[in-house]
Amino acid sequence: MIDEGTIVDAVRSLSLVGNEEGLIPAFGLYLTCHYASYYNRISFAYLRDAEQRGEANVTVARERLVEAGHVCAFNTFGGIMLSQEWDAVVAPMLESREDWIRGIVAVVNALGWGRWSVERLVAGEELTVSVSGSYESNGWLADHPVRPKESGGVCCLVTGGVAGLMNLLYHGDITKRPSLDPSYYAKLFTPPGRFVATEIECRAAGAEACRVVARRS
Amino acid sequence: MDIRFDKARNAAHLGGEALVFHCHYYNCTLQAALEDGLGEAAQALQVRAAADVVTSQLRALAPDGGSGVRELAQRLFSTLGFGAIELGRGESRVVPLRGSHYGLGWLAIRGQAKGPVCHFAVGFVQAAVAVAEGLPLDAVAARESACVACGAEGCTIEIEVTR
Repeated sequence: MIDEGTIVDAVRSLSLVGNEEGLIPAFGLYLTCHYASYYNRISFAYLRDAEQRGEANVTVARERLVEAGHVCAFNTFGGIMLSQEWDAVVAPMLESREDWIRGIVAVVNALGWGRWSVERLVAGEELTVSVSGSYESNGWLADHPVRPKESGGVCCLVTGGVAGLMNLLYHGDITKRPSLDPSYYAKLFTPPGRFVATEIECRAAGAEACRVVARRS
Repeated sequence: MDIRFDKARNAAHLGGEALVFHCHYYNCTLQAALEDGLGEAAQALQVRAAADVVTSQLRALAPDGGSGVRELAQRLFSTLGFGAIELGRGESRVVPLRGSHYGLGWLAIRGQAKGPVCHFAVGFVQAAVAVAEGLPLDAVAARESACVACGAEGCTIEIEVTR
């Protein structure tokens, strides 16, 4: 049974602040405690620029922004799931492969990204995550009018992250402690059989929460 | 640094700004995506975005400005994991940046860069100097004159006060 509150408290109690060099080494990564507004300003400037230049440009911009989310999931979620902290705090709660998804979602709920919930998980097939107060939708709504639904959502990080979760668990196998190197990344995020995610509802387009579904491509 | 975490909402704030954890892989991949998509405009966009958000935060944290802003900015920069900056006093207009998160991250992931990559840090320094000296942002110009991602031993940000 995943005890999300215990996991969140454990992650927030870690000393994730800069050391004497001003760096935050953790989970085999260098972390930053960064500004949501910064990410939103630069990402949405790119997206809006593409929207002014036509649909083909929008497709490319979304692919690149979601790809950054894939990279985030692979390295951050993967790094966390291979970490000593995961072994100490989350691993004792794991009773099934699906609990790895619920466990890492609990960790995400300590990162400041808005509240993630696993809405539906079909082992090896589909994952739906809803996010209340995603920092991306917060940023859009702070600076822009509500988008028409047909324009799609703005939560590219969440979209890439949810696909990445499924790829780590069901296209690859993070439970076997693989090396998170470029060749493994290519295997996980290259067709056929990889998971691809879509944001089906977004607060930036008038929904109450953001919802992302990942399915095999 | 009193970063306030709202557990129910999974939101963290400091000085009116929402803070989120991200790693060097995401930060550098996002930066590369912008540069692929927007070309030369990406650099100015990132510098300005950083300067605006840090200006807002520093003014919230130190509404009276003054001599403490430099120390506050240095501590903020390193606490948040971006490296270590030394904001000189008086006439000093050269800011050494050690352990640049973006510079070292870029080098580790993407190899040597064609030009400086620490755009966030440049905007941060620009904002810190402007707030410390009570100047508008556009009165302070900042540029990175050396970057570890380009093979330099360390990163250097040069400041010019234009009015």
